[in-house]
Amino acid sequence: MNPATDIALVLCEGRDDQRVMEALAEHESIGGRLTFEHYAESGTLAAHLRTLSKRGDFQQGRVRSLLVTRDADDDPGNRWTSVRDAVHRAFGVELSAPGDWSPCDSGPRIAAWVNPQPGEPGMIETVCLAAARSRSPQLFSCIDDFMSCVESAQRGPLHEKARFHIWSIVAQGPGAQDRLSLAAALDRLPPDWSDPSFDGLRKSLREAAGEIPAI
Amino acid sequence: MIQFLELKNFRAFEHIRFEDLGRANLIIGGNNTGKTSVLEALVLKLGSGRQLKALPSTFREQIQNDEFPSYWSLLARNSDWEGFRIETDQGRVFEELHPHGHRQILEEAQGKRSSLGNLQKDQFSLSGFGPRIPTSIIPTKASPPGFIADLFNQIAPLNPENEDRLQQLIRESIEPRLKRLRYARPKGTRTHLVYVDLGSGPMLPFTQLGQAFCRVLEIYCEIFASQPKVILIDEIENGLYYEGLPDFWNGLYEVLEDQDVQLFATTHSRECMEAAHKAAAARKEYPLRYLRLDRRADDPQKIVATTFGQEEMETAIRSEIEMR
Repeated sequence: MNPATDIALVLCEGRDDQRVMEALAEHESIGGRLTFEHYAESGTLAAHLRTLSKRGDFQQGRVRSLLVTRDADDDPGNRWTSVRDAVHRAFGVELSAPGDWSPCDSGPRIAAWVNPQPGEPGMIETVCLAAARSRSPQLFSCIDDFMSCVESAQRGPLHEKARFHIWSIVAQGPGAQDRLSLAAALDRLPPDWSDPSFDGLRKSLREAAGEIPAI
Repeated sequence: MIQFLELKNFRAFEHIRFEDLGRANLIIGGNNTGKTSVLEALVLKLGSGRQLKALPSTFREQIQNDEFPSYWSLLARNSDWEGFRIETDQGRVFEELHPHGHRQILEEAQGKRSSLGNLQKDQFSLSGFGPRIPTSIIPTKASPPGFIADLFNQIAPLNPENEDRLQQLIRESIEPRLKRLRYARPKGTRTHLVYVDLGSGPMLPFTQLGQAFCRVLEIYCEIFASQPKVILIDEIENGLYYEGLPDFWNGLYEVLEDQDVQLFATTHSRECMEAAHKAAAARKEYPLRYLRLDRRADDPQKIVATTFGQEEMETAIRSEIEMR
């Protein structure tokens, strides 16, 4: 790859996913070699990819790698099928499995990754919380207690994203600029980026950046 | 309407093909990707004898008369390889190579073949052409005011409905104060011009109202007076302020549909692309296609073409994807 002209694009599901992946890439010292963008919501991925495929940098052949990511939520099999189909419709490329790279005739090599891990339900927040928990177990015992208390009071479970947002609020800085900023939270109370829960995503990001050759 | 356009070995293009053309087609792409060459190809395929003779300097103001012969010899991208070819669903124009450097430009439509021109030792001569589609051309450079006034005069006396329509379109798209337009040569002036009544003070010659007014007046006058089936406009946004672009496009789509005209226009402007899309999306049938040209980074001699429409542009605007 020619870093001056070639683009390795990581497409994320929403701004929060993008911020987490940017922070992970920075930790891996590959942030400068990756370009991050996000699509608005999961239902728009297919249209987003079709549009990207006609964008100038794709048509000019400057995008050399495209890593498409999304969250499994409650249905990992269905989410993988939908991302694989969206890639196929936009680029005519058949993806074999999450994290495997496929060449495209006149476009970039493409891979897709479904968070947290292939076949597992969850989302990037699941990965991030697992790594944050291992870094700050004491803090998470407070958050868990708080979550249990709220769940008991409202007689129903909270979504996993609620725990993530509580953690990110707890990790806010004192300044007005830092409040309700996931970027500030990731900076101030970072997860353990070396945590094995990030391994699958880390590998895909490093391959996208050309750090390790894609198989 | 023309459904597809294919160019082989023409100007900078080795081979490009635009599919699924629309009522309005906006040609976009970076500098030197061949946007204007697409318009030139359409003139070769569709234009009248007068338009063909003037083609070398129609879109390229800097070209001098002594460059005209070499212009024709440079139409083929690779002149040693084969002649150029311009093909639509309504026939094709192509170049045939003969011994001793003689090249013949031929036209083939509805099963008939005729000679369009000959090129020998850089000397080009137009030999004739078959029935052509009435085509209007509006280059970047503004036409002389007298020419625009003459166009207006062709509409007004003979077709008061179109005159009213023209005034309404200009009112809606560029100048809400407009009361009426008049073709006149006031005492003490040498030429007839279009005069504009803005409701207060004396009527003004249209040339006093700025570039946007002149541009819009010229486009509408050309359509109503010349009644083309195809109109080619280079840098369509020229002189138009971005806030007025949606109204301009609304009016233009109406006229294109009413008068059954197909538009091919180049633009550099993102505002123009978005305004064209928003106005198109409000119509019963989406009339717009974007024809995009890109130079490959891995082979800068190669230009690729793609066509996109409503879905891609909506996604691009919603997700702030740059599509210029």
